[in-house]
Amino acid sequence: MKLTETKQGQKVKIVDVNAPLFLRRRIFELGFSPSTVVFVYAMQRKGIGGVYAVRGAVLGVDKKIAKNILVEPI
Amino acid sequence: MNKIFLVGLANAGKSTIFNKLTGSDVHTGNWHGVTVNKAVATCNINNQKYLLTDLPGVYGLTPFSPEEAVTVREILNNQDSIFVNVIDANNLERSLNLTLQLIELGLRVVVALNFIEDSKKRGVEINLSALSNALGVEVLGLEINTKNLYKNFSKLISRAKICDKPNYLKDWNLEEPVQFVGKYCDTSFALYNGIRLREGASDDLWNCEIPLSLQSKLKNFALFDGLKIITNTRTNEVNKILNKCLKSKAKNPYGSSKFDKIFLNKITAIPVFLSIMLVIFYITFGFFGDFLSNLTNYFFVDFCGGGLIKLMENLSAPIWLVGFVNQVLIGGVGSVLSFLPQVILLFLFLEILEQSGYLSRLAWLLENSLSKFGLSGRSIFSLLMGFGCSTTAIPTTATLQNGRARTKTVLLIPFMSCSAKLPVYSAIAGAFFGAGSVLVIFALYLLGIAVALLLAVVWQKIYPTLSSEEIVEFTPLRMPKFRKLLQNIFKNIYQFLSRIWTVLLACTIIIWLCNNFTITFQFITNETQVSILETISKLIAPIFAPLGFGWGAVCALIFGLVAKELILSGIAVLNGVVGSAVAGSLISGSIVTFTPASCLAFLVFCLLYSPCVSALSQLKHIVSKRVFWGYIFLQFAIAYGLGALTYLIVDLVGYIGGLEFAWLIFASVCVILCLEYSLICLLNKNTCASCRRCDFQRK
Ligand SMILES: Nc1nc2c(ncn2[C@@H]2O[C@H](COP(=O)(O)OP(=O)(O)OP(=O)(O)O)[C@@H](O)[C@H]2O)c(=O)[nH]1
Ligand SMILES: [Mg+2]
Repeated sequence: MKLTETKQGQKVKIVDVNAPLFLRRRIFELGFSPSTVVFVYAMQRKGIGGVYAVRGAVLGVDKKIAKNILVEPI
Repeated sequence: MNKIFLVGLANAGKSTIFNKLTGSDVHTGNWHGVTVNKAVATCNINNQKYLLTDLPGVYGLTPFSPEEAVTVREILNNQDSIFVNVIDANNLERSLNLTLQLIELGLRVVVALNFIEDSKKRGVEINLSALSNALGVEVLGLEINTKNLYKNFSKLISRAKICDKPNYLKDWNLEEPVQFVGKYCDTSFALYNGIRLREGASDDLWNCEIPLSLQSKLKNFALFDGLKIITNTRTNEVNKILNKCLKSKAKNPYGSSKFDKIFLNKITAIPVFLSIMLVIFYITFGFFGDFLSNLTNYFFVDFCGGGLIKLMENLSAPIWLVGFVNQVLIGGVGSVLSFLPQVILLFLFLEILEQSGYLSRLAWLLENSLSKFGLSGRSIFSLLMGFGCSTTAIPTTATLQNGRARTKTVLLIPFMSCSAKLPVYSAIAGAFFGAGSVLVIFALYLLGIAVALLLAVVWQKIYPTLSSEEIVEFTPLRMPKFRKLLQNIFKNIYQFLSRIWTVLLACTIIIWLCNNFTITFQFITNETQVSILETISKLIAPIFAPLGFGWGAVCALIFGLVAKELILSGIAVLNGVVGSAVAGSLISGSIVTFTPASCLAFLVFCLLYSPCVSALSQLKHIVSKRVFWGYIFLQFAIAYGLGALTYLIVDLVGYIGGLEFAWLIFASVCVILCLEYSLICLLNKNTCASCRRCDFQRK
């Protein structure tokens, strides 16, 4: 499942990130590393993406990136 | 001299520490990526002189943007220095990844925990000695607001020692790749490059010239999904460390706030943002700002200036000198001083937005729409303020860290029709369109935006700007600090004023000379003499024939270069009328007259041609000379082109009476805007975030 397919208030776990290497590393470093738990903090209108709480921080993630973050429900 | 570097995640408070320790004044703000270049200053610690360097924030040791490349370069090139890893205690979990990467290289690392008080309030409790043991480096709490900062920092520096490399490095079997790259790069970079090879990131090697024939071999060093393995190892290590030292965790994530329910809500986010902007706009450019502005104006122009003139007249100074002082010093420079209250208000609001942390939310909300044009989400503040006054809006772009995005924003601001143009529009449009003039004026505003959007897209194609905010970190909402507000405001006022003098003074003098001397350089004392300005206007008027302007209109436009309000007063002087009679005189006047076609062309030209000199003087300090002159030319070209087109079309269509005609104009501008927007969306459809980054990464 993609991160964009989650609902506000849901908790999911990161499986992997599909992106070119340097971008993938950055997404990992920002907190979206495998097996981290993500809390869906707020969702935005279509096309903008969502706001997620991960590793104790709150990050807004563009839809283009969020749809490449693969998660599984917990 | 020994060097100390401040390294850490963005917004950890590095620059604040740097300022406190060295007495410098580098910009700090409550959002990520404030610092974009290194700052260096000397600092006396334990009776020894050190070179302290503040670096842009990074998340790891592989650069992702030009700013981060600065940090990585400094770290790798100065591996024998002391590295103070500044960590926001609220953000410990994500910060340790960087700390581990520093330790892996075996640098002289010490950890300074910042925001301890703040984190305690949120329920975070960290056992410092446990953290220190787990990491194998010295850890101390630095509370910036206490007097002990200097003492603690000294203690930290004196305890810096080369740290032991962590055990997990063994699992990555680094000997082989390190030995391999060691042959092609400086030995100090070998370990760093070895880890990159294991990650499979052979493009990210640092200062390493691998012969082409061996490039294909590099892949063999990569672990299977090396990046994931290495990331997981570090994450596990971080989790282990946290288990040992974190006694209690915060309930809510750092950066969250109860206000986010409205600031980030699907439905309310944009209306809230618009209302905040509206309030700021209303206070700054509405009655309150106007009142302050008039007050300053009264003080400088009427009170001081008037007194000065009276004094000079009493001393029977020559009449040209009185005129000079009156029009150049008091009129020109004084009128700019009257901008000052509005500048102060605008900066005050911007500072509050910046320090409170709302700006990071704003950037996030608008990033998606603005990145199409190569603008960053933060540009919107400056652009909207451009509707008030370009002169005050341009300096507010200082908060945009991306150089190109900043230039772009600055160059687009003048297309946002400023408030000084409004009286010109309403007088001139009112004369021809009566009740329909509101529609015409609105259409003009839209036209300005349409042209700006088009330019932005074209610019984006020629000079692509990379948006760096596809992932925005939210900063906690904090109450702005009064003292910091004041400090920053004074700094900005100083900058504003120091920029204005030269250009403004020179231009006002030139225009004054042109208006008060004849072509043979005699001071004009009676009506029959012809000023240089009039001669020039008559000379260049034929150029404006395709727009239907007579020399009077051209002359008024030249006045408009000094200040847009002067267009109207210029017309009044030329037509020999005062006040509200101007509108009528446009139809039946002697010198400046318009037909409906030329009137529209004039309005379009007013909207688009070069901004006033005080705005230009701000602009000149931000863009290069070439861009500056090119831009002025471009604006004239656009204004001329669209003006001529308007004239032509209206002449063809014919004038069909006030209100209907106004609707027609309004509708056509709306259609243009819609067409343009859909075109832009179409153009941008197939560019993905990562593709744009790929280009950048390879350079
Ligand atoms: N309450 C509190 N606020 C702090 C402290 N240290 C820094 N700040 C605030 O935190 C914000 C970020 O500080 P900066 O010094 O700009 O952070 P930075 O690490 O230089 O950030 P970048 O330049 O973006 O990498 C500013 O608004 C500071 O006023 C602290 O100890 N306590
Ligand atoms: Mg900084």
